[in-house]
Amino acid sequence: MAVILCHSPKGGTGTTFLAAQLALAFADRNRDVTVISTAMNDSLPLHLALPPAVTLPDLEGQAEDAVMVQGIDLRNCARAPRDPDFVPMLQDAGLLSPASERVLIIDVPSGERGLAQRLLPFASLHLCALTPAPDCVALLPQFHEELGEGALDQTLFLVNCLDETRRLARHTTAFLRELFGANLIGRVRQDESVVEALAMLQTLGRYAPSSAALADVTEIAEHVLLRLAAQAELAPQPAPAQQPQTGDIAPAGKSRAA
Amino acid sequence: MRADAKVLLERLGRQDFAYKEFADRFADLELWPIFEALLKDQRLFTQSRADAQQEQPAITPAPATADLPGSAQVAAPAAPAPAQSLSSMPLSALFARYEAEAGNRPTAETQNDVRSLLRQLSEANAKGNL
Repeated sequence: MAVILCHSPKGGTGTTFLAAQLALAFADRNRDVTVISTAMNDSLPLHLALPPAVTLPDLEGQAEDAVMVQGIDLRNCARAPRDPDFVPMLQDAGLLSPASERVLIIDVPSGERGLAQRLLPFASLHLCALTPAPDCVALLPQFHEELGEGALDQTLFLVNCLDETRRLARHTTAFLRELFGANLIGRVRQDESVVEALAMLQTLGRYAPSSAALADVTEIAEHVLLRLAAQAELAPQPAPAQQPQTGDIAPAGKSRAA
Repeated sequence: MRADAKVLLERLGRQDFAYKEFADRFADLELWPIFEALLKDQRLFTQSRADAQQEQPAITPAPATADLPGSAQVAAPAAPAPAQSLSSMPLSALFARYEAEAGNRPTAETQNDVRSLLRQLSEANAKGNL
């Protein structure tokens, strides 16, 4: 099981867009994917071409209530930030089991820093979308402090909504490139077709297959898959006697210790 | 996507296009005050990292291309950034390759005034010394 935490220091940076596009890209590559949104006001369905009337079933909802889009299992757990049993619930559902081939993507709103901190030890990767704007980069020190230094090892950053015709946006991206080095894995160009696709109730791939943003986010998805594959190669193969029991699963960082 | 743009892309045989390539040379980049403030923020730039950098610079300076006033050398602007993450190196080292080396450590004043360093780079660039 690969667990990808999508969480950013600031709202409106495109975290839900990123979670949805990653899920679609993984599903295109025949990976089993579950996406859990933890937002109270959830825009994830819209990013997957579902009409606003659709609400996602709870994580513990019945199988017949499941909402599937292109093979992606979509769930919502808006109570997660305040529910201390959220992580044990994921474990009980087998969603954190190392034996599973399923990719779990968890979209955590920017304001729910505590939930992100709780999930980080179980995450294979933490994806952080930033916009090339001062009000976003100004939050990085606080973000860094709250997540802790160790968390940054598994954090990959990307610049979203980049308009390269804008001087400040270019300079900010260059600054972030210097700041994060190889952990800045890409950029997604600003593209009107992203919001047009939402308005058309279509996925971006269907509405604008030649979209610049789609090409960029597809590149990022491939990069993430490569990272996950590299992590899987480095992960030790547990002996049968050492298999963790249900409800007693070690955090990803510990189980992957080389 | 507009039909005319779609037709144009098809004629060009491209998936997407940019109207212009906007590649800034380092000498053209500005260190906006917010960047300077971030570089000085202790939450990003912890003391332990500062100490580590003083003992051993995390970034090896790129080959110098020209001498600057004050016996300063500057890295080639086109040199790619080393593939090191924030978590693996002190933040003070991020721009260390742009700072003076050449045997003499930069003065405290120079260290704290990155803007003046950028001005020096711009002047050197204008004189054709870069």
